[in-house]
Amino acid sequence: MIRNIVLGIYILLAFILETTVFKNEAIFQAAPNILLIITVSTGFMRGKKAGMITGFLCGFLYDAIFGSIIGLTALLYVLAGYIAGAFYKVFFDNNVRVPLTLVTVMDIAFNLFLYVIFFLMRGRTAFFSYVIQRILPEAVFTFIITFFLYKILYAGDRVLGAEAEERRRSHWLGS
Amino acid sequence: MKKLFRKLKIKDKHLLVVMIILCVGLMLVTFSGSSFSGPFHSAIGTIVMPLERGVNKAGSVLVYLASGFKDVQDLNEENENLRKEIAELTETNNRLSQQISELERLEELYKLDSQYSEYNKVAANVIAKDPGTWYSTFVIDKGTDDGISVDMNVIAGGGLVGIVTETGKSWAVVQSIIDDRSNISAMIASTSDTMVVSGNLLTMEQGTIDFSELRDPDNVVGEGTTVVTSNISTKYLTGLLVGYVSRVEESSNRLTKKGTIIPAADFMHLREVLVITNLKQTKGDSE
Repeated sequence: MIRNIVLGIYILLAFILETTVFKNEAIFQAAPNILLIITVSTGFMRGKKAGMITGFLCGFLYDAIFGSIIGLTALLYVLAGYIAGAFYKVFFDNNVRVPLTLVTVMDIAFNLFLYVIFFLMRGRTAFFSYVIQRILPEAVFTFIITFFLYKILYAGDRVLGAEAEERRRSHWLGS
Repeated sequence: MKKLFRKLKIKDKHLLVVMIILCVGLMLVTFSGSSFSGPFHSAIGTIVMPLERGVNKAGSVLVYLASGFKDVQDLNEENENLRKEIAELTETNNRLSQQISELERLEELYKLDSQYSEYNKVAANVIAKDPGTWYSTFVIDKGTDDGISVDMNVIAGGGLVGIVTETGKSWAVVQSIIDDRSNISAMIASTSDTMVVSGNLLTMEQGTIDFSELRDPDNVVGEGTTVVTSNISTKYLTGLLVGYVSRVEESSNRLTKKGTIIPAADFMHLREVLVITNLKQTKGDSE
């Protein structure tokens, strides 16, 4: 229960940081996609269901304030959470390389998708310019932030979810 | 939460399907154009916006401190330039005040309303920006309680900034004119030749937006020509300063011209904006 409340606070904090501090054009060129980091990390640490629900909350929060189509970001984040959750039982979650790769790949896929439906469809065909100017800077920044943020999230989850961790280990031994 | 699922015995795949149906359902309702998003907006806005406001205040203090140190040299230089500018402006001002009195006489002659200077404005702070990389929308800390409604024009630094697209009780979302989706009907201030001004994500960093469909029969448009919102625009009030032409070229069809405009408002350092609470009167409204 505490784990879920803390997760809710994370999501709220991430949204606020993303829209204020990191969106200061005078300092940063691109903003990292922290909501995606939270979604993927949760999916990877806690499984598909937790990943999907986190993804839905994150996406819905964005959609409700900024989204032109409510539900679209939520849908993409739900899928991201589900895919991340698929790696839950395959890797140990103290391995930062897996979430790093997952987040970066999904951030690029997410933005490519948005490019195709919102820009290519309107005749903005300069694909490589958009990749270089928009998609890559965000991916790099998101990659760097994930490296630190995942460790913090993981440490926090270890403290709060120690019990669940035990259960999971026994599950490993049992299977 | 986990216990709940264990009780319900929902499989991962089933939850995925439920979630996808839920999201697609939300999207379909959005497409159907009903205003169902209103309650979501206000509910989430009530939770998030006070926090945004607090963080933003703290953030602006930090930015101020960080920029304070490196700016001292720049300030001296700027001060000198500004002095020169004041001298020039004083002269211009004298000239203009003479022209205003002339204008007043002429307006009276033509019985024109002096409505353009009488717009009601509400000052607002920018408290959040779209975190995504594709769009340029932001949230201000004034909403329906302060008399703000959708389609009101937003200005800052003397130039047009954007238009209100969503409103909450104490906040509103503004789509800026540099947003890639934005299309404005504008005109050359001196000749009233109309054009379409549209945002361009790729040139956003260079600080320019595009214009097209300009017919310029007298060939007067060049670098520095003033562009204002046009009288035939349905949502933008007439005569608001958009910016200055920075480049002109002929379109491939040889009939019209296109090019780029430098907006008058500074989008890099947008902190305070003014919302004009007068809405453009269109034929449909008055009926």
